Amino acid sequence: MPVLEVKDFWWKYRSFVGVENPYTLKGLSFTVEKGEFLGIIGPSGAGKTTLCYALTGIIPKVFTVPRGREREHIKGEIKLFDQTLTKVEQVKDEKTGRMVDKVVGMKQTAPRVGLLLQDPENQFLRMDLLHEISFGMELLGLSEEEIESRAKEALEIVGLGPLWPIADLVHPNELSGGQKQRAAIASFIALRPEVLVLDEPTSNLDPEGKLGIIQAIDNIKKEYDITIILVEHNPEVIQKYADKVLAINDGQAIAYGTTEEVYSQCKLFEENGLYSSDIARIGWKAGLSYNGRVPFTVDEMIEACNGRNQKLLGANPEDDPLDPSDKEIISVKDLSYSYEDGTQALKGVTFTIRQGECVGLIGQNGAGKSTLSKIISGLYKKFQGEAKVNGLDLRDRKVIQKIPCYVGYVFQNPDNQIFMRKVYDEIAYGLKNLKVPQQEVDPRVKEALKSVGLLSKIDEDPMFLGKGEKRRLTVASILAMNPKIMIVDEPTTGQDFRMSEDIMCLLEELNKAGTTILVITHDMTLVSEHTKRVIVMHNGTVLYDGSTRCFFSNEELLDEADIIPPMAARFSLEYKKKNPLAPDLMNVKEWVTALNQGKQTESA
Amino acid sequence: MSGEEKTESNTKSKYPWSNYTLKWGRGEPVSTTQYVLYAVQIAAVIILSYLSVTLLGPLSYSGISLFYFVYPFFLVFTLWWGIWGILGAYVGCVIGAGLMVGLGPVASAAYAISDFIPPLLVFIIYRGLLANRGIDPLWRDLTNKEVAGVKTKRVTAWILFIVINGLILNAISAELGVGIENYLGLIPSGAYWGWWAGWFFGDLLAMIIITPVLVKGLTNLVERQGLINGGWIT
Amino acid sequence: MARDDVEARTSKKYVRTFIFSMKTGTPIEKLHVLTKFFMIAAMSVLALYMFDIPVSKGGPDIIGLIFLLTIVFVLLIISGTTKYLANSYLLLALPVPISEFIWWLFFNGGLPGAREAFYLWPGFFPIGISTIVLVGVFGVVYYRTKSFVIAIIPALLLWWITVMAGVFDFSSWATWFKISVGAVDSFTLPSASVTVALSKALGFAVLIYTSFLFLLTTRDSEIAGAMRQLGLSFKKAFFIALIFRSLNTLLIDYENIRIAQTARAAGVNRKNVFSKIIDLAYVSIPLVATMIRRSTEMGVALYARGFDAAKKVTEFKETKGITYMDVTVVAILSVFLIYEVVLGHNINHMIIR
Repeated sequence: MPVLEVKDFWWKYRSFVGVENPYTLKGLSFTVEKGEFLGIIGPSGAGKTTLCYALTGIIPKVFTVPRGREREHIKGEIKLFDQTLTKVEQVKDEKTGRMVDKVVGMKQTAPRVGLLLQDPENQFLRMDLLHEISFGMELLGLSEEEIESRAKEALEIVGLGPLWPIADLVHPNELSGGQKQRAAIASFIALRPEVLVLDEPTSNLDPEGKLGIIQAIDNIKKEYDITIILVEHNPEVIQKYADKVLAINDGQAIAYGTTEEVYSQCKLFEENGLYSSDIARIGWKAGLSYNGRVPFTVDEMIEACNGRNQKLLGANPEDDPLDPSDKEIISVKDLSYSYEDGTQALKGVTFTIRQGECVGLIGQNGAGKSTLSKIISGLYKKFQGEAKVNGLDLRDRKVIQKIPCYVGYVFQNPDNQIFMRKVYDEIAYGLKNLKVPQQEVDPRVKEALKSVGLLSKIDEDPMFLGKGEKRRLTVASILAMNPKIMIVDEPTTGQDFRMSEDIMCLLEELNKAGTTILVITHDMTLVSEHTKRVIVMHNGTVLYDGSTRCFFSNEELLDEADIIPPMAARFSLEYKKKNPLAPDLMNVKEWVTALNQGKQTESA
Repeated sequence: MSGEEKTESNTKSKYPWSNYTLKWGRGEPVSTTQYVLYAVQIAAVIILSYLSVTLLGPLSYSGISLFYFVYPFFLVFTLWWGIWGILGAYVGCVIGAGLMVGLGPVASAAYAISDFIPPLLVFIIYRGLLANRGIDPLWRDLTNKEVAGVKTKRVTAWILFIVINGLILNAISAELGVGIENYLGLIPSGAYWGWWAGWFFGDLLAMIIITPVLVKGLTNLVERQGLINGGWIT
Repeated sequence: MARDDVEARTSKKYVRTFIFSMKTGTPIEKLHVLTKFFMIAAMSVLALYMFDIPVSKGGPDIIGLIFLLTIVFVLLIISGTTKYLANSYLLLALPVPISEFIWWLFFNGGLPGAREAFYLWPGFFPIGISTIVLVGVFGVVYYRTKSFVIAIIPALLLWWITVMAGVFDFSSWATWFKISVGAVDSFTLPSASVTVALSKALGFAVLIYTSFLFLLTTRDSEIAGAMRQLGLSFKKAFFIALIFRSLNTLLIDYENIRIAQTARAAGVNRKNVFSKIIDLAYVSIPLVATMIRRSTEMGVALYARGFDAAKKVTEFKETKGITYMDVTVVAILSVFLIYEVVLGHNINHMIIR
């Protein structure tokens, strides 16, 4: 018997003022069996979070529908544990005796169903770890002894066992994002749920945090027979754990089946802006197959290459050489920085960046990337050592004030950077601060919007733009200021494949036009595809500064930096073990080119 | 209330803001999300109160800021959220502009009354008296020529805004605040009027400059999400 | 508790409080939050009373205030929080007692009694203890803040007070050289002015440092527990606790928004006061948008934990018992309060007489 049944379910959010909202979920139908692991994938704005809310009863209990208009907002039915969770039915009104429409269903899904959201900060509701874990159990009215024993067990499962003795002393500020997410998982595990829904739980986390969550999910699967529904962009995770996959776009199902069945449809993925793995894309574009489908893993890919008797020889693809006469635009020497609480974020960092470069700044959380970039952009002032931007010394307070004229910083969270209620005004805000003459403002605003594809939204309210549009807006607002250097913090986090590509192509175009780009990111695929040089931060120092290719082909360095290279680069490392003469390839494009050339050579 | 419900009620009532009243609420209980919003709002006012007092550093003391920029924030929050905004104003002053700047609990609790009375009176006056006389209880007529298709009385709105809030309620606030501090022995009598003027003009400046930005920038956003209270509580 | 657990517990030396952290295992940590609150309330009542005793009734209780201040500093030291006192946030409070002194010195003219002359300028620049005060204060504040302006103001003020008040009466042990500069300039004030002004400064210092003592030694989680002990329901206590939980998050949001504003060149060109104020107002838009987003997601998270339907909620390690230490502290302070405020006794006069 299925644990969850969704039957032709439609949902529309309530509108309080103005125009009615369109349907967010349109006729979804699928089932989830007990103990099954269902992966849900889809581009941004597809309705994945809304679906999670619907599956856990949050729709319509938290997001209510107006009385008398139930059938407009909800159609179809969702059943959970063979009981109605959400449905609109005709019932007799107690007061009037008439038959009226009413939303019927389970009043509460907890503790049988748990829901983990994206933002760890909004889920950590108590002020110490112990009470966070015990929260749900306290609400259930369990005994103190039961709460204590379950809490301890739950922390062990998620890998936070060492914190148990001091759990009542650990403040949320002392935990990383990944630890907060694991604490939230633990709080649900302690309730012994039968279904756990996780909505992009690793989106806002660094690689270490992501790994912690994945391991926690792994442990849960092994220990308990819980039905898991995971919304995730990362295809490697879905392919590893999911039994079935549901792909949705614009509120509708576009694919549903086993992992193999769904992930083999590479063309569908490309058309709908879904992430498929590097290996799958390589296999698809190079015409390689494994057991009648595209390969999914490195091992499958190697077998597929062997199957085609594919051998790669030759030199590495040519990287654009740096013009030695290029001007130094960022120069940092023995740079150190300490926070107010004494933590040393940077310890003697030295490097230079030349005009026109596109550099990836990578490293684990706490390595110093953000601090470094904020010093360069004049946002952090009290540092030791030397820092120069465009020849200007940042130790001079008057210079620091002017740095935003040269350095544009695009922050990770667009919500923190939108100050105006019209897209036009939002772009113009920075220009007005720079005292750009009024006659210049208008053309610059329009040009910036055009380059990010938002010209049609010029009069819209930025607060109501989609996630990807907001991100592009923040890029445009900096672009309009014509900075010589652009620092972009996590440009692809929480973005779907197409949006990520769009943003990165835009940055590439800017770079070709002469803007120096510094990208802070955990996305190694992005780094391998778009940056030729990488600066690796580790514990406040520069561990490596050089060619991205050399870094991704050096296993020792990768281990030391605690960085997992992109799948294409991992494939290269594995491939070279048996074929030492093969070139170091680090991204999908290079592999496809090399494989296709190799194929042509063989044919010839 | 949905767009359609609103249109229906518009045709029945004269003004688009007629559903914002001094009743308890709209007949629905306060939801968990609303309670969370009110709690978060109080935290925001605490932080802004604290920043208002400390922004000018040692020039501000006894919890009196020469530019108390949180003032328009909690007034606008009160217009949206009724009693919760008023509570936020009081608690924000006690903790943010009192305890956190070193005034001690007794002095803080006492002089924060000066931040409690103005928003309370603002809510009553605008929703109870002026809303039925063509003045928007959410102050949108300060910045908009029309609200939901209905032409606003901008000049009248501004005159009332300055007289009621800027002059009368602000004077009451200054009198209460400085008076209580003087009574407690925190401010010498010889400096009374100097500090009174500082309080009065500091709040007036903040109100005139910041309120229109808040109202224009945020009221629509909050209303679109169905988060403006129909009455005191919900 | 297993041995490993005990070791892990004792290895956590500091625990996060309202602002910064305090040392674990200290007597202050063991006090109940209600006792701490009573302590600061009692001390602030005492301070407000002591510095407000009219001159006609013997004048302010300066020794009583010094005694209170000493207790506060001892408690701060015991709680292991003194290292935070040199933090720039807490250091900003230092000028407050000084400015309080000045305000009360010059704006409190209606005091009875004889008038005394006070030097505005003694006619010479003294080199001596006052110079050490000048250099010392400047050095300490500059080291912490790296700002000449922020350091020179309190340094000059304290130097001038030391010179002007004639505390050392320019006697040879306090003043080693005299460099003639300008003419003698003095003014007269009621002789009680200095006493009253000093008492206000001390009283304010008591108010400030007891407030900081509370904020530095109270964990926000204790407040929720205290609410429950006072009889508030779980849900009401939870929402009060949520206010404190949100403080941290919103403060970080506010700072991020201000940094984002700077990145949009908000501070590049000189702006008049009005433009700077409007910039502050613009912060409200992302701040309120973030508030709404956080509230919605927290509401969802609460529903997911079963908050809405919860009826009987277990109290799990939320509350702290009242110990003999709490009773002792409350008793001592109560006696002190009755002695000073109710019975009108005055430590200052007892000792000086």
